[in-house]
Amino acid sequence: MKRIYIILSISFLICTSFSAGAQVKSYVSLYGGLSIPNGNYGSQDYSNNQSGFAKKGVVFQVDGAYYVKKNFGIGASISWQDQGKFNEAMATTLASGYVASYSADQATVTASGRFHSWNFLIGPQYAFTYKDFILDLRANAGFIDVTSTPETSIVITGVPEQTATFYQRASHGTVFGYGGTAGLRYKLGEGFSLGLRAAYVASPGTNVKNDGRTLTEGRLVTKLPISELQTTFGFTISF
Amino acid sequence: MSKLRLPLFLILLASVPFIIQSCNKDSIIGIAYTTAPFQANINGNTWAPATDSTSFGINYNAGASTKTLVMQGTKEAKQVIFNVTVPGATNTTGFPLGTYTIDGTAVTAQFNIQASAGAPFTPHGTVEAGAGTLTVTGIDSVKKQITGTFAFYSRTTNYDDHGNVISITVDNITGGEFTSVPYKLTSN
Repeated sequence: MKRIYIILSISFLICTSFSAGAQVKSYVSLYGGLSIPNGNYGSQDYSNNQSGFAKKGVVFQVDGAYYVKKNFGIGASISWQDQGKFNEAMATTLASGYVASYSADQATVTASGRFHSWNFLIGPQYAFTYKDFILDLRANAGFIDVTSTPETSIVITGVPEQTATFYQRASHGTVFGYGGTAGLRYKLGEGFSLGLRAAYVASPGTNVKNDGRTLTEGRLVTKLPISELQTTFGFTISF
Repeated sequence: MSKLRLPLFLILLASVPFIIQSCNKDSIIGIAYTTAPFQANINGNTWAPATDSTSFGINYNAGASTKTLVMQGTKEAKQVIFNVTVPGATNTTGFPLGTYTIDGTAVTAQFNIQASAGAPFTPHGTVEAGAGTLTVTGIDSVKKQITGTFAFYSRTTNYDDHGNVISITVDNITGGEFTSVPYKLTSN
């Protein structure tokens, strides 16, 4: 959340320096960078059923905008992001939680799979120009195609009511997403520029299926909300 | 050349996710154990009886001038019992610190199992002299709490119908520990 305030503040300051001018050229960009999970999505708190255990990962993005009139246009982006996978410390955090919740003698958590998703977002965009700089601001909405999330299997001992292995299944599905983007481009030549951008993406997330529980205690995840901040760098071709 | 820029961008972008998608998909394992004050590892599995299934007692026998520590825990059809008797004892609320080796008389241990629910616990094998130890590392004679470790094994010899030995089974009780577990003091 703090990062969002900083980005908005910087964007406001830049906007006051930039101005609307001649027709801005439409463009298509290729970006790559870092996708950082926010809030519950990146939380590793066992006792919070919303915590996602997602990690920082890479994001690759094709972004473009068609300027309908002067500085106003419609922008769209397709991005693919990887939010990592469980490490041993995270699996042990879950195991410790299950030992406590079930008063078990031992818990073994096996995690596999990664957080992968595609974002397909579109929205109105406005460009401010200052000399060779262009600041693009956009509000986004669209859908997020979650192709995979980690799956965990849990084995506990010392609990007669729960002798079977139980699972938090990998989740996938297409869900509504929304957010905003601020991007700064610098013209290097005719039709070519470099850019930095920050995007915030959020979604209620996918439903999560749980199998094998004969005794329900402790952590039970039924939904994985998404919230991520993406900072990327790339180049643009204008036409 | 400039006409090739856009197609090259898209090809480059499309290839990256597939490269990353195919990387490291190994499973990760995290294990956590109970922090129960009384626990052991029985044949490779953590075993931690609940407080109400655990009893620790120290009995002073004035006639024999002995003190006997009796430790017992029961969980999931498994029961562990340890008896340690020390001679020349006085009627105090504590117990001598030290390591006590199973000798079959003054220091004994039992590993019992329950064949079915409600059935009595019976010894599973024999705990012979030298088959393990119990160490008392700390005692709070005011709070009446005892701390220590234990380990032993119980050997079962299996015979066929003709009395021939066909196999030997060993139950290993390792890593036993009791940490500040309350004990009851009695004397007679």
